[in-house]
Amino acid sequence: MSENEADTPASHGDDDDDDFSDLPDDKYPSRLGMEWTPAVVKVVEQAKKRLKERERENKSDDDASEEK
Amino acid sequence: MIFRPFLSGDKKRLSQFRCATRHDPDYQRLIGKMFRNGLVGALNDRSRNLRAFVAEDREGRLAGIVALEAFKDNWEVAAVGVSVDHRRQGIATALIKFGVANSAIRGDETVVFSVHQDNDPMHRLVASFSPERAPHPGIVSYDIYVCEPSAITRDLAAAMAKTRGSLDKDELRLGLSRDLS
Repeated sequence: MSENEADTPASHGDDDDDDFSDLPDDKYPSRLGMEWTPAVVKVVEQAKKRLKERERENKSDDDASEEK
Repeated sequence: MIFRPFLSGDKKRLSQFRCATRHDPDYQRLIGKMFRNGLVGALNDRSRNLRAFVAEDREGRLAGIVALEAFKDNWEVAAVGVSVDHRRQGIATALIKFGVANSAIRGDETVVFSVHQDNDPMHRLVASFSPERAPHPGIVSYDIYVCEPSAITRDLAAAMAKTRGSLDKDELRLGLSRDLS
């Protein structure tokens, strides 16, 4: 790939000759990623907290093992 | 296999990208739509902080794509796809590791996945990153995983070696400098 080609900004729509109008949007995903609703944010934050706690516990265990 | 950022010139190649999926042909078409329209649209949207990376085979074909998007103190692996001709070569694993390693993720940030309950290979892959798992609060068929970036990037070199992968440093520099401009 040439540098000129790489520098060309991508644009919407062109080169897309496929027609998706027969496919219901509610059955299949058509966007990247998930909707970050407040409920999703809360679940992620709780999981993140558990992850950090687990990391701290593992570190404490490692430190205790080194001291023995 | 070369691993590098998604560049504008890759857009035309997306029309030839046939993403491997175990679902019906309609689903495969929608995944194609997601990559062709959703990825390019999201990359063009300046309000979104999105990075995309590709694996390219020796013939110059797209073998895989991964897109990561920042949201608050998290980066979501928003899409992962491997072409039907490049399945079971460890490309998804290597691409995710490569993408996380090159997305300037801070130490206090985490990496989030949402995985459909039927997608066993993806569940196994993400489980190898020692994540915290929780049911999606709104969509019962999905689970959410939260991972430490370091748990994902561990063994990056080995994962890339498994695909006979290499890093294109010039294109990596070019792609990252554009993102940072």
